[in-house]
Amino acid sequence: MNKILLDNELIANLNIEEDSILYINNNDTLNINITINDNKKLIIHEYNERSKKYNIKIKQYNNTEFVYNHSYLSKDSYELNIDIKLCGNCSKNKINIHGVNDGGNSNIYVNGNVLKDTEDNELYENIKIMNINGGKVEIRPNMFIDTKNVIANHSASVTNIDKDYLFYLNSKGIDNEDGAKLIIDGFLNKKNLIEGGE
Amino acid sequence: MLEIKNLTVSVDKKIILKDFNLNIKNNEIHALMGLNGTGKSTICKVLMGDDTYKVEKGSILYNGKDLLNMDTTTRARNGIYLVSQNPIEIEGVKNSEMLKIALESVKGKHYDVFEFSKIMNNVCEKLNIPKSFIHRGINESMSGGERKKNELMHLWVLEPFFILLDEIDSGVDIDNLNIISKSLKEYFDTHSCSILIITHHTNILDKIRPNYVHVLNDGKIVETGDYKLAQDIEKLGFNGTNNVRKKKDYE
Repeated sequence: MNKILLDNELIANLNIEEDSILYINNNDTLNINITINDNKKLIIHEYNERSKKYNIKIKQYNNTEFVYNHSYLSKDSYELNIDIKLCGNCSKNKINIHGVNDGGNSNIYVNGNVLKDTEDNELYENIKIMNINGGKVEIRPNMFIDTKNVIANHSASVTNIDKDYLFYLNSKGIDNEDGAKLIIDGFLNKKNLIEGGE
Repeated sequence: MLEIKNLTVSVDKKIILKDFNLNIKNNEIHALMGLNGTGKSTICKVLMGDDTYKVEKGSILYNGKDLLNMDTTTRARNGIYLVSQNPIEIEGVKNSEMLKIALESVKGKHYDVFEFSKIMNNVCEKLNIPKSFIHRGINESMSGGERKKNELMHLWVLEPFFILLDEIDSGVDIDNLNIISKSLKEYFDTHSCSILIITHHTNILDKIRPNYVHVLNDGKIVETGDYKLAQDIEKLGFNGTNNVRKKKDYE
């Protein structure tokens, strides 16, 4: 499988003709159009600590797989627009977004489109944002389904630092500051999203 | 070690413990039994400092210090340790990451990676658990028995002085219960500590024989005895024991 690392501003069209893993670290801007051709797989791991505006468009044909693991920690403005089109049959699309919005503004929009007359596709949108220090979060996990033969699930949650987690860590002798850091780092899964991080 | 006097505790304005009294000395094992909903787990949470529970009145002295004036972290650093009924899973946080911070916090000194690894490896060998536990997420995707063993691993690393076991036997098969009980007994025999066991059954008490068994009802201890009381409860139920025994003034 190809491994690609992107760590600069990126405006691009990507045509996936080999199974690939793409690591994107700390980009300010990303405007990317991805086409995944028949029988190909693309995994994107992304970790970001900068404010940013992202536009990602994904088009998948037959028997393809796209997994997008995106985590971020933002104290400022963070906007993510993902547009998915499942044009063929038997494809999977999994969007996993974990974010910590630390007093900033986060807008996460995911539009999953499963086109007419397609069959046996799977679409999953899983968005979890931890909102701390009075930030503002808006999530839209949209699904536009134009076929009856599809598995589609979406979930979105905005939470604070879990009080039970903190109590558990306190009960091991860990103070609130270190406890919160452990919880946030675990939630963001940073080590697994940075190339060579694990 | 621990003196609880006239403790009254509420949750959402509902009284759970009412004038609860209990003294536990160093190197003693106490068991607390009672019907569901009588406040057994509440006492563990209050001792650990869970602020969901409001102390209305009463006092708790731990080694002569006012426990109610300590936050949960300070209590843990002073050697109080809770194994809860359903240890929670924390997404993405590994045992090793958490335990290194916890160990340094409890012991008040720095451990380099080699010292820490040695401690962890020794504990895994002692408990006969795979070393992969060290790098697993806290209770992540673990069965009931594995979670309790994981908490036991934390206990052996942190070496507490006062251990609260809140139904450690629930959700654990007999083989794992034997391993857990044996390990706890070994810990008790090799460390200066006290244990409070909350349980419904005598299985665990067969292995970790308590000095005292207390029956909790309506938020207070209504009967105190020795291991024989636990056996009677197992045989006759709580209502049955009420008919054959009289309340003793243990407190």
